[in-house]
Amino acid sequence: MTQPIGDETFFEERGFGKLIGFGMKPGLIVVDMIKGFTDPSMPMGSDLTEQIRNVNKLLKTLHQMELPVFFTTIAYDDDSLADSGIWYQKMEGLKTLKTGTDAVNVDERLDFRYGDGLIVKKYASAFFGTDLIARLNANHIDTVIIVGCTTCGCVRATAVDALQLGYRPIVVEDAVGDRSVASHEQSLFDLRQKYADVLNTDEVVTAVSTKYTLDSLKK
Amino acid sequence: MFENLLNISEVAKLLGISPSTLRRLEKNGNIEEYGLKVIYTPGGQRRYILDEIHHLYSNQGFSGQIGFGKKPALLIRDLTLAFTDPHSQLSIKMENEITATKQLIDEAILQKIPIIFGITIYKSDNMVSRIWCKKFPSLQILDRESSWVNIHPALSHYPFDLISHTVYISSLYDEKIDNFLKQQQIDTVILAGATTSGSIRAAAVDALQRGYSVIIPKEAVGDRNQTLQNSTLIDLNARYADVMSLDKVLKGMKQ
Repeated sequence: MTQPIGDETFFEERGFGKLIGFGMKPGLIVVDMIKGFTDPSMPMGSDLTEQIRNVNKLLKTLHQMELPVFFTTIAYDDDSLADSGIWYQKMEGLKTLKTGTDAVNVDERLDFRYGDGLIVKKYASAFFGTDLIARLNANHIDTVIIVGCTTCGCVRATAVDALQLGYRPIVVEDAVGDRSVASHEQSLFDLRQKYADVLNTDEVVTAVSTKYTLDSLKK
Repeated sequence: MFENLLNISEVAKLLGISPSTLRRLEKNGNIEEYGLKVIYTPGGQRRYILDEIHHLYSNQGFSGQIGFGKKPALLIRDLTLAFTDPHSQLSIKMENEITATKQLIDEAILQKIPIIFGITIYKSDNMVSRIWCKKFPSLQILDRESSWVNIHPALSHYPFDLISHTVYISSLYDEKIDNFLKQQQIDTVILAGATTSGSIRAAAVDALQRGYSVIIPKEAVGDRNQTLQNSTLIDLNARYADVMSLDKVLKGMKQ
């Protein structure tokens, strides 16, 4: 069995890990579910079959409720990756994410529909240097449901940013994945204690489809 | 000799394989496939060296070294009474980190490296504070007027170039700090303080996104337990920051 990551009791006694809860209107952010990460044969890829199945369940609910969905991809145009800033010096693996290659396309097992947003980012957070804030605000979204990969990289950075930008972040634990199980678990632990609500797919599907109705969302 | 040893289940998780596979790959105290040495405790338990795991990440397209730029700044976070006093809900054992931070401050003063002190506060009329506080209500003790947000007495006498109170997780979200870094043409931030998995991590991610080189002296950042500390530093060194020993950072500041 896996070791406990942190002392949950200690954190509970100190008053961490309460629920933030859903707000007035949720949107879904599908972080970096692109071939470069979802194809295990790619250098930065891993098997995310289970996560893809769960993301599709959430997509079905959000699409039915006509709630906004935003996919992100990470793609570099410059031959020498100048548009990755200094990140390339840290993560050489970024060179597998070139614009125009299949690696930066959203995995076609996902129900990525006409009308869903596509945000191209260069860094970890889906908010950094993108128009995501404008799109969320134009849609009156105050709650962001976050899924995708990798848990300790872009998912985590997006959730922390969402909170410090004034959104309620909800991370779906069985719809986020990482190459490293340890990093995945630790990030979910930190997020749950300090920054986001961590729920599973079924809980989110139930909450979204019972809390909101098509009529209430149109008001 | 090796302060940072990991046990078999921790290493197996990091490598994404099972402990039994890890045991099977071991030959004569080595795991050739991953370039890891195995150390045995007197009780016969396997231990693995954290630095070797760091090295392993670098062979998979992670953990490149960015190094110091031309103009560093020292960015200290939350070494306040709230995070250090044992009576506080948020307290952490930080004695060693404070000693390490003092060494960084002394060197920074000597080298004329700007020193910034960021302090988390709670503002009841601020939306970020209000949402964050739902997650852990003890955030409320960080009221701007309360003594909890005072700098730790061992550090409070230093001449900081900027002391900034912020509701944000990342110090770089704070406009005063962001402007200061730009005005001073800073290209490298050295991070110290608390907590490693919280504000330090968020600042590291954010600083790299904004084009700053990020240096983390591992003795000068602290967290609520050793597991959080170790795994956060592995992640940060793999993806966003150069995690170094205090000695190496002090040397780097001299250049």
